[in-house]
Amino acid sequence: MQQALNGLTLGLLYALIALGYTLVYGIIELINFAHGELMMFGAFFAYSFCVVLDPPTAAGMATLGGISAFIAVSDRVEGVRSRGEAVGAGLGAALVFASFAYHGGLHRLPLVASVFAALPYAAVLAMALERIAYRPLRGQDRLIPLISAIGASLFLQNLGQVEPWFFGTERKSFPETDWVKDQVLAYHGVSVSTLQVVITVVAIAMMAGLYFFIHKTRVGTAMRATAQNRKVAALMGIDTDGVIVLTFALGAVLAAVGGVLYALYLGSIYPFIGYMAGIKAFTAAVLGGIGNVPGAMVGGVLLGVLESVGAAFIDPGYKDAIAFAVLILVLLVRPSGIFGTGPVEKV
Amino acid sequence: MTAEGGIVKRRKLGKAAAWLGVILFLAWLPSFLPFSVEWNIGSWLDPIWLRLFGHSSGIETYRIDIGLHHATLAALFVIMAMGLNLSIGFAGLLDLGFIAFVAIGAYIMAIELTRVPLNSDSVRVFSAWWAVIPLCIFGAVLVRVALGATCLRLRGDYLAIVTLGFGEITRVALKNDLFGLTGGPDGIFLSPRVMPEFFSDPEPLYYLAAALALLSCFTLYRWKNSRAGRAWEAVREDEVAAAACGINVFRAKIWAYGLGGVFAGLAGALYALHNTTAHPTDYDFIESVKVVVMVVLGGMGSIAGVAFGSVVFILLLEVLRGLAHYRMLIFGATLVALMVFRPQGLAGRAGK
Repeated sequence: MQQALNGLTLGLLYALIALGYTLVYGIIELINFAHGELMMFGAFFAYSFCVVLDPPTAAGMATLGGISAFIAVSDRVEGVRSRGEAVGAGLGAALVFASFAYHGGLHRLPLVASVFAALPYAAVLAMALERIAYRPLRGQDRLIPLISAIGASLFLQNLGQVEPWFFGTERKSFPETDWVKDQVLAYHGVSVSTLQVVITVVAIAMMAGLYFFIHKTRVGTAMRATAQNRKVAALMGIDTDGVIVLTFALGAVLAAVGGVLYALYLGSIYPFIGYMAGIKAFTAAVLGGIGNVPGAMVGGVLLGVLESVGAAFIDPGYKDAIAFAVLILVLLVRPSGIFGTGPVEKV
Repeated sequence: MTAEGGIVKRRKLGKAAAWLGVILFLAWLPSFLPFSVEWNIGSWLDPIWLRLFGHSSGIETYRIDIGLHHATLAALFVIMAMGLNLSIGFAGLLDLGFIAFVAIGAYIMAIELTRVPLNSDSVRVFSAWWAVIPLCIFGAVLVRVALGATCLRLRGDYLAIVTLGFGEITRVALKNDLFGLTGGPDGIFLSPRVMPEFFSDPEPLYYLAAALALLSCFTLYRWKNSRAGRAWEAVREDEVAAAACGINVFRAKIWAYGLGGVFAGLAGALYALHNTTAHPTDYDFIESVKVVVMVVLGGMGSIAGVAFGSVVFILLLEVLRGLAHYRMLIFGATLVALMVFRPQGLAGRAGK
């Protein structure tokens, strides 16, 4: 019971990260291997705002954020195509520069504020990634962007290890507060920690927000149209490039929040944090039927619960293998995932 | 003799000469190794480093050593790349867990060498090392066919993630001391006592690996234009059209996928002997990525290209070794740049 509850929290985290995979896949049919690294950098940005802010880290973050922001908006400077995007880019840049200014004083932020401060960084990083590594490859054989994504993932993972600007290679505890382990509820040997409540509330709120965004706003409608048929969407006057960039940014924001919560859940942070979590979140997305937003949520939760319960029943050493075994079994029965609509053969 | 016949004859002669040239080069290569270069880079690196990090880099020279074991390693990776080329290049089946099958070969070899008892004359009771190689190949092919039979009906990206998952399952299982045989996280060390006498010198392994690498290339070269090779190409280009032409798509796929296991098992057996250990961290996801990169770097489906790409790649990794973890940073960036600027690979032709 306790394991199932722990699994539920873990699963919600997977789901939060899986959403980024599934959103991107839904629109451009690309497995964004670097998504786990975006999550890692999101968590790292929050960590540096919250725990360490020595001058090299601040310089590293400012440089990375600045370069990313520049790349992300560079081809938009001439003739900005939509007002929303200009506002978005401007807001992002303003936030980034506000954070730079804040770095000057090297203050530490409280945890919640540092998460919010980290979001624009993660978003512009994802936008720059799309611009450099994926956009030039659109329309190529599917394998080509996939290799590029793996390359980007390796690049970011190792960039995170560069000292003294970023992480270094060691594990660091995150953060130095103990409220996360406090129990708020204990009933017949089943206990719930504050962190678990926080994860549940935040994850569900973000998923609900995403659902609302996709289904009730104009931009969300544009996203769905682009996912259905990019060419026709472009003919209808939708700025499809902008929508794709926005999707990446949205995925990165979800991943950054997921990354911070995941780091809190583990109690530590390290450059490889995104690797396993990323692969498992992707597995969750495939499990639910990739490209399907509710599917990613269900897949994530299912995976988390099965993993925790399975590890308790079988052997904790095989914890990392359970997710993939479940994936293979599910795909045997339903080749396009639980909620997948069946393979679309384009002849 | 017609003019056309002359051209064909000349072309055949040219190909034979190229094969001969490669064979001679590989035969003579050991006499050129080890090879090392040293550059004095401190003089220009230090000023930059001081400005960036505020302290001296402490690096004065940059040294590159290429030894015979790198040549052996390159040959082994050529064998692996050929196996993966068969799946990705010929049949279009994206496999992100290829190294798992290499691991199966390597572990079978290591287990045989360490677990099978010796008799009083220090001779293995059941088998010599070379008799284990078919077993390694058989093991890898068996698992590969079993996985293929269940998963090859999946679409491209799903297949990629399932093979990736299988690679991770294999790694985790090996790390957890599968059947009490794989030695857990420390792997299996092949001490000089159990290593076959034949490999006490590094040269025999090099010649064996180089010969088998050449044989792999030649095999693929023969398969490419065979009946099966054309079926694979048809399946890769368009499954529906291939099926309409009377090709059994699933059978063609499983042949391509399973035969890849032959190369994996073979390379694995030699890889264990080369490393004198079978260790779970040698079979990480990143190793699968390396083999995929070799195939893509050389140009999918091209044989000389992939062989060349593997060798270049191994050399590149070696040349960058002095950069510690900046190596993988550069590797990642290079990968992205390569895909953006030359997606068809170094030797491939421009897109259709």
